[in-house]
Amino acid sequence: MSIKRARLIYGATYMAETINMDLFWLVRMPLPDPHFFLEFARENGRWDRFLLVGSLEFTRAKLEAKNCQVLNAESYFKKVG
Amino acid sequence: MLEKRGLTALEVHPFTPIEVVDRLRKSGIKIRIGQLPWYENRIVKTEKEISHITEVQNHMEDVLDLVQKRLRRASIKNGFIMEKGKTLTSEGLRSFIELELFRRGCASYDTIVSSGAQSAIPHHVGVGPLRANTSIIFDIYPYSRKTGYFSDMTRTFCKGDPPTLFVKMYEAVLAGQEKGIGMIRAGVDGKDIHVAIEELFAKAGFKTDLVKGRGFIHGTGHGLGLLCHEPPARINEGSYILKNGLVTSVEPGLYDPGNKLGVRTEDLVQVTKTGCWNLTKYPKQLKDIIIP
Repeated sequence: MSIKRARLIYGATYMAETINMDLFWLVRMPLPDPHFFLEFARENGRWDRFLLVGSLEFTRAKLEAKNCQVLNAESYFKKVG
Repeated sequence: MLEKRGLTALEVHPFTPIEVVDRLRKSGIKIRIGQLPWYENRIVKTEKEISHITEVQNHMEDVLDLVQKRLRRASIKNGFIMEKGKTLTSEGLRSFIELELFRRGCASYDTIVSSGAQSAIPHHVGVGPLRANTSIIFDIYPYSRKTGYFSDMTRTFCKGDPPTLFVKMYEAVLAGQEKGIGMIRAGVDGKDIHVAIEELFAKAGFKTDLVKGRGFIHGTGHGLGLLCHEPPARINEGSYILKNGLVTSVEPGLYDPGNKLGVRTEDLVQVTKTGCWNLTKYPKQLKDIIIP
């Protein structure tokens, strides 16, 4: 199934300048630091959603984050720089 | 992740910091700024979300009831409201409201408790002694510390004898709100509701003058959910067609800085295909808000 479109939210969900309640509405997890959240639209209308979190939040995100796959962001941060 | 999926372009949320957008552009990714609403479904509130909002609303109504009881017990001296020999202040009642809400699991900041000339300025938070025989606006918008959902309600009280102009303004605002709520249903343009309320006010003798800050100088309502003001930020801005399931405030107000009076009444409603559900139960008839 090919991917048609990619979208990005960069934000926190709680008590931060970069608060983004669209992110909170979807993942339902309080994140006091900004994180990358990527969504890829499939041709069938479904979305693949990924929350990239660092070591600080990884374990909690695996337990609490809804509607997405949680990835450890450390390797991606190294690529982006 | 983009490369792996054969993509070179990325749509970013409109709240993305410019610094982040710049870095992504420099790394060779084509960036397009996305539009709100990011998630269309966020506007349409589920039954569960409505129960979260009404839970906060119920706490707020309980707390405003306590405030009204305090005002009933209070006395009037030299035009100010007195309680146990001390002047009641905006700051004192604001702290009381916010502490009582906190005890009920809600957080609330910058609650508006404004009287007299301050009530004629819609977002004046209110400072100093509370005046009798004039408007006192309570605009409360707490959120649940457990669910994150907000509620929002405004009531205008008068302790003592209301001026004739206050009564006229209050009756017009109440009629305007009833007109607005009566027009709400899915598919209606929010702007039409606003214009109808403005016309009702003009017929009642309250023409709006935006330059002088007199009349109906703000929007009719705003979306609410995980934020107190969430899309649509103003249901009457441009042309906004109300969606089935949207929760919006309906909050007409009249302001007269020359006569140091302001009146605003705000309820929350959920839009349905045939009308709306009013989520606010707190009394608002003239007899309910004049406190002897």
